[in-house]
Amino acid sequence: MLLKEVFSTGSVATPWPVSIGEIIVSGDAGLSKTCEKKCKLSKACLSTHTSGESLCPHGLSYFVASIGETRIVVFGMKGEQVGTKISRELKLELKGRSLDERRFHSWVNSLSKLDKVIDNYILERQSELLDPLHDPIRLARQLESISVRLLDQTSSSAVRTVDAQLDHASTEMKSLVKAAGLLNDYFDLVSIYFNPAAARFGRPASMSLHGILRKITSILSGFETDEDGVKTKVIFRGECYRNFNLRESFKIIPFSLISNAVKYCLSGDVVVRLREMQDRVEVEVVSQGPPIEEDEIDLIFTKKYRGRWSKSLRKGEGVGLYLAKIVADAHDIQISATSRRLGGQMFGATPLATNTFRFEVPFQINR
Amino acid sequence: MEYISGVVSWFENASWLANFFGICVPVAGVVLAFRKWVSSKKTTGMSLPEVIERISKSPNKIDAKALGKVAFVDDEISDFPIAELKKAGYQISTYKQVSLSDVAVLATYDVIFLDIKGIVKDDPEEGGLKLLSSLRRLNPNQKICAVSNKQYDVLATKFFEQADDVAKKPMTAQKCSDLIDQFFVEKFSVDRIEQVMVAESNALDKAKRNEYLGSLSVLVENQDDPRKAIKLDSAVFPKLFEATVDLVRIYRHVA
Repeated sequence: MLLKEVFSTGSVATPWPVSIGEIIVSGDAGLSKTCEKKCKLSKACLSTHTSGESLCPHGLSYFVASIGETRIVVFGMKGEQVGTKISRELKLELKGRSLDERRFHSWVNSLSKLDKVIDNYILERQSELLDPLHDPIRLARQLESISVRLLDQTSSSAVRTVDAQLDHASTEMKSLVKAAGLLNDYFDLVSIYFNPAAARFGRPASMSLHGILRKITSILSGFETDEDGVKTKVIFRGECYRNFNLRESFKIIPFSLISNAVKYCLSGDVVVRLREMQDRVEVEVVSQGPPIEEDEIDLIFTKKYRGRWSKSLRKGEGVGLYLAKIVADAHDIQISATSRRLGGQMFGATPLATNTFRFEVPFQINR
Repeated sequence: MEYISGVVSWFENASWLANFFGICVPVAGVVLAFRKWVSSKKTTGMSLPEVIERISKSPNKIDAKALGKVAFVDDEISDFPIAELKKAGYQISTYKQVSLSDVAVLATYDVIFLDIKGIVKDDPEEGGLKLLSSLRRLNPNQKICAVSNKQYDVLATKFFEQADDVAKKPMTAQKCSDLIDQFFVEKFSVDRIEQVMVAESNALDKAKRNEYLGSLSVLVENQDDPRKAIKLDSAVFPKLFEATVDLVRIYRHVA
């Protein structure tokens, strides 16, 4: 939605005074005297949410419509609601400012078309720009598949699962399998980042949540090294051998939460807990790191937002938790976060807190 | 004897016109009723519940690998384990590139793995999406797996959303066979087919329904091509048409 920006350049003429988003354009008719004098600081008409024509407290018509999430208000006009019983002064002021709903909606429709043209253009360019990703994604999948086959060939026949094979593998083999797995997971993150609808692609299939968590924890454990060269361990606790109906994107939730915890872990290990309840399982990712302030608990799941304490500690884009939220929404799963300060313990200038990210998966999910 | 002589004298006393109607009308009535009875016996040779019962009671179980047909439509066929799948007994066809006019042939497959880009000569950019929409319209019962790594592309969203499932390339033999097996289970479910046929055939008027059910009962007795012999407009009732084709195939397969 670039309409606001397009209008702010002044290159697009508007016949009437209009507010697009927060931008006010005087238009060919210019602002009416009443608007200029009586509503110089704030205009009541701009905060209304009723679509169509309404009358402002000063007796002038204004027209409201929305294009996408942007509100458009044409104000200081003479519409049908102004009527004929108005002062001579107002009559003079409104001369040449007649507007009816039909003309207004036809103008809004043309803006809507312009908006669609801009949006389509952006999407097409984005599609073109992302096209080079196609082959690397394919190669990364090949790499992962070959690394898992190699791991299988070099493991004893008694060890069947990938995570168990990784436990016994050489350091090089571990790194190869982990790097290939991470590469694919990052590509999945990228796909959902550019196209959030991808979180809902494909049908849910029966999967072992325990298996997913085991694999992710074994890949992420000891993989990232902090600035002091210390590798953060990820410890997995709990059992649940039920299968759940999950979409392929589901793994993004634990992957993002655990990699986020590993990235900001300042003391001790990251603990992933899986607990089977009566009708659901609960997954908790617990680590000690920078505190998340109360007012940030919801904000950390929004795009590009970075916690006040964490942004000074590590480089980042503020997308991991945002992507976890997108995928959680696609599965109707709620992620909650709590942050409890550890008394007066500090890591340099940063207070330490126990941060817990938690979500639940009902047994009947997607059934 | 008295009765017969009474009837004879009645005819002798009546005019030639009364004799004509008195004899011809009952004879014609009997002939017409007999023909109707014969034709009704012919068209309702086996009813839908009877066909279903025969299938369920058959000692032969459905061998989905032998019954089902799978197509891979992708410009990079090497991304699929075709040799392994064929070795495992699946009936596989591959297409590197197709034309939008080939859609009728592609719609006859039970399962189709479809890429979005580079597969349609007439439209290399968006051909996969157009093909998928056409396939859905022609054969709503076909199982389609959208196979592409372009999940990041907003413009490809419709392609992935319209498919029954989505997969990334290259695909492993395990992933492929799991998907195909699952699709076969769903597509060759006799319960599902029966449900579709009962629900959809209720929308037909009586004459059309009789004609359609008649063609079904004939098809289970012979080996004619069901796509040509089913008395139903496939463009108007594609779901019912394809469900009937599947039922006939399953019947012939297990009977």
